Amino acid sequence: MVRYQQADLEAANALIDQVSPMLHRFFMSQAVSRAHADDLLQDTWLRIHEARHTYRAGEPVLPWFYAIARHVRVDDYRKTRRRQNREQAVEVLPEPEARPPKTERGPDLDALLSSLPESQREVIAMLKISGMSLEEVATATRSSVGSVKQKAHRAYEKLRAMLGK
Amino acid sequence: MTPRDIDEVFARAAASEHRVDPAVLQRIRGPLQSSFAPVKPLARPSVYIAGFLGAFALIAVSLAGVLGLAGFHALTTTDRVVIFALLGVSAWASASAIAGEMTPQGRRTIGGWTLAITALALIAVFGVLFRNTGFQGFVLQGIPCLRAGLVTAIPEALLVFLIARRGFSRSPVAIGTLAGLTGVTMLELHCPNLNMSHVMVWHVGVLVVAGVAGWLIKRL
Repeated sequence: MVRYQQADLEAANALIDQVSPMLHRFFMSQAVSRAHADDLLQDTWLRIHEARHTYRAGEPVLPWFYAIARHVRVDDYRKTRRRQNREQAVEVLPEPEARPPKTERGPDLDALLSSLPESQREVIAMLKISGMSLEEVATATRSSVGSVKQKAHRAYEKLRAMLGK
Repeated sequence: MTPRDIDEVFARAAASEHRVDPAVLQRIRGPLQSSFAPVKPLARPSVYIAGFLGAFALIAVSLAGVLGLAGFHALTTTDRVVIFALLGVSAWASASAIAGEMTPQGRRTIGGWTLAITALALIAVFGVLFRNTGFQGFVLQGIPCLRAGLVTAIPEALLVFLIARRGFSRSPVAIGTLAGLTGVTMLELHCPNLNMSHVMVWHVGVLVVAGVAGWLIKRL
């Protein structure tokens, strides 16, 4: 990251290759389509590039990336909400995109995550899929470790209740 | 299904490779390479906090110095310690919030409730310290104080904004709160009117107006 700040093109390319799949998966876990996740990833890298000077050497880098991804996601959500509010209701609503069928191995990840509220979903995605620590998730989501633990606990309770039916 | 089963689903997902379309990665590299230059990382938060507090003290004291320090001389030692300690702590909290907001992962910024708590704390302190009541010349004496406080708040807000804009995002409510506190501090140094209602409404009013202005800017 420090080499990226010093305009080392190789370091920037390595970062893009290494971090993009994680961020893309994070966006996909937020119940967006692949094409939408591609757009969000591009927006995120533009924001990362503009804000690269705000990373301080020695600080954990993953929370910094995820915090920017989260800002992009929130901005996108607000933009979508504003657009939806401006649009008039249509008589026939489009059918929701069909989910792939369950496999015999059990429920898939998308199905599990899509049943959770937004705030719990992002915490679970960072903790369980990106493998971040509680402290890193707390930093990325600008909350406390206690709040992250509580959200993860509630998410698990919800998933257990849903899957136990 | 047990938590372990759920963990297994997540572990499988985490272990599986997630690919991004190479064309997307190429589209990301394009604009980045066209504006590639070395950047100087942000200084430590303490440097910015010190800068914001320095501007707060400098503007409040220098403007009060120009207008006269009659307010400071009218206060007892206890009044001075309590009032300026509260103003200092509130200014430090606002400055910390602004510095925190300069990085993407900075802690939660000051919101409307913090502004309300700061204003209420000041009102409570003034209510305890000042006993003079009455509404004689309430508006006539109040308007110049409100105006002087806001005139003090404006350069502080502009200066802090100019420094903070280098960061990831700005915090207009925190900037408004710090600017308002600068105005209140200047008034406590300058205004010799120790009437409780005057101080509670017109001095604290500077903080409220500046904070609400920041909140409105944020909503735009």
